[in-house]
Amino acid sequence: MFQCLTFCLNDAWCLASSGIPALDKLMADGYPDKSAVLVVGPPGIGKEALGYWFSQTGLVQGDFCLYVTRLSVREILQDVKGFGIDLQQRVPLWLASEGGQIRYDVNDLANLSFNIKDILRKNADRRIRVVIDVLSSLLMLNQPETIYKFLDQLLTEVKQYDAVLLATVEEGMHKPEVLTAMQQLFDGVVELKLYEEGLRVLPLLRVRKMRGIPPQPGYYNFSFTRAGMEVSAYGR
Amino acid sequence: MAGKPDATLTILVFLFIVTTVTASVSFDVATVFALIAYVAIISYAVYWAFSIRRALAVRLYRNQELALGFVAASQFLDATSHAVFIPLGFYLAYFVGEAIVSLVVIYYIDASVLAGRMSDPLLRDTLHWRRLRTFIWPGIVIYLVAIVSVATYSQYSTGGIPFFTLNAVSVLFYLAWGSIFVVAIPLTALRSKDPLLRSHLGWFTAFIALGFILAPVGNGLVPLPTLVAGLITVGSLIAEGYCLYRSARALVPLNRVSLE
Repeated sequence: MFQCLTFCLNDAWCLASSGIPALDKLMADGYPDKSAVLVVGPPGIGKEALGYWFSQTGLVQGDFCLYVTRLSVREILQDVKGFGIDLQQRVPLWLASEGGQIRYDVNDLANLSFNIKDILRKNADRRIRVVIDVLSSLLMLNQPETIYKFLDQLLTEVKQYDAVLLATVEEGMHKPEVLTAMQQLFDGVVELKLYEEGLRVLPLLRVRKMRGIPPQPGYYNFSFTRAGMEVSAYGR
Repeated sequence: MAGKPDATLTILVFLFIVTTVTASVSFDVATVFALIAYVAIISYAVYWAFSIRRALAVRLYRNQELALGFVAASQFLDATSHAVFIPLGFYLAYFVGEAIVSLVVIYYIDASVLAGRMSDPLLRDTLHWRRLRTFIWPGIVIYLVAIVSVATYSQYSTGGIPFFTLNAVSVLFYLAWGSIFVVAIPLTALRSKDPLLRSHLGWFTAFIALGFILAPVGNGLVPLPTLVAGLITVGSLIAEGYCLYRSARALVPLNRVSLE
């Protein structure tokens, strides 16, 4: 765990560990500071696990963590357990539909924005990690333009703090142009996708873009084990 | 470039045409072609369901592909149960096969409704399924144990329940899970805003619908010449297999690695 501790070379260039050493390596030691990263992938591929490890690592380091989900906390903790992660010892602040400190209402976008900004303000003296796992449902219930505006304002606010935001969005549920527009708003995009190669189905990972590092065209195999996420170079 | 589904459909249509043409010449040769097409497409559906399942990480979606794989695999059992279980006697051969097919379809309904909730932006629990399933599963287990027990008793004793009565109960059970399917799956698809899940459920519904609609032809309840009834049955079985195959692939977007 301590191998992947966040480190700061100086005030201007800090990196936040993803909690997955192999993924950190691909991104030159972690997510850039004051950044927003989008994880794109189909349902069931394990995007949320990236958020779990990101939160867990932050909590271990003493960062303040906010987890925004449309599920109940109980459901998240069950899911977390499936990946061999323990979020019960050190808990993030839950903004959830049930069981959290703050209630998430999918129909109240303004309140969601207000709550997140308020939490950021109250923890301005700490290093902050935010995980948002509600973008797809918001995109399904609102006009995409409304969500772009909401995100644009939120991400601008987040970057005023010592914070890193990680959001997930579903592939296949939204029009390609919506996903492309979403990716433009973020500093980094990590894709987890299923690829068909002959008669094989491979889960592959790609860092599509990340602020501070040159674009990486390479694909990587990944798999989840009880010990974490394993990432290895993909070769045909 | 044609995708795998198009190529698969072309091959299946070709095999069905060959079966139809050869049927008028030699029934045995036509049966071989029909078997090749049927076994191939069902095996292909099972293969894709399990391959995609292996690539997924979240239990809910893995379960859905697993259930689909079981449903596809159970088609072999359904088609051969009379032969496989016949050493146990006619009653058991009939009812065990039926019970297994029903069980896997109910497992699929359960897995799909639970997974479908995740793609409903309002996270609605269709038919209060999470509570309902705690009653449905024990009920199903009790029914299956009862029907197999009664079938076994009737098989080996003289004062057993007649086959007709047991079959009526079995048909009622089919209608019961059929009704749950008819309500739960469309409602899940309607509430889901995920076009992939809708497509997946659509193909599966087509598979179930074909089975129900064409069952009377396969069971000889519709007065048709043997050759015509046989070809309709073969065609429907192949079409059912194709629906399962498409359903298995439709659950997730399958990309191709670009060499950009």
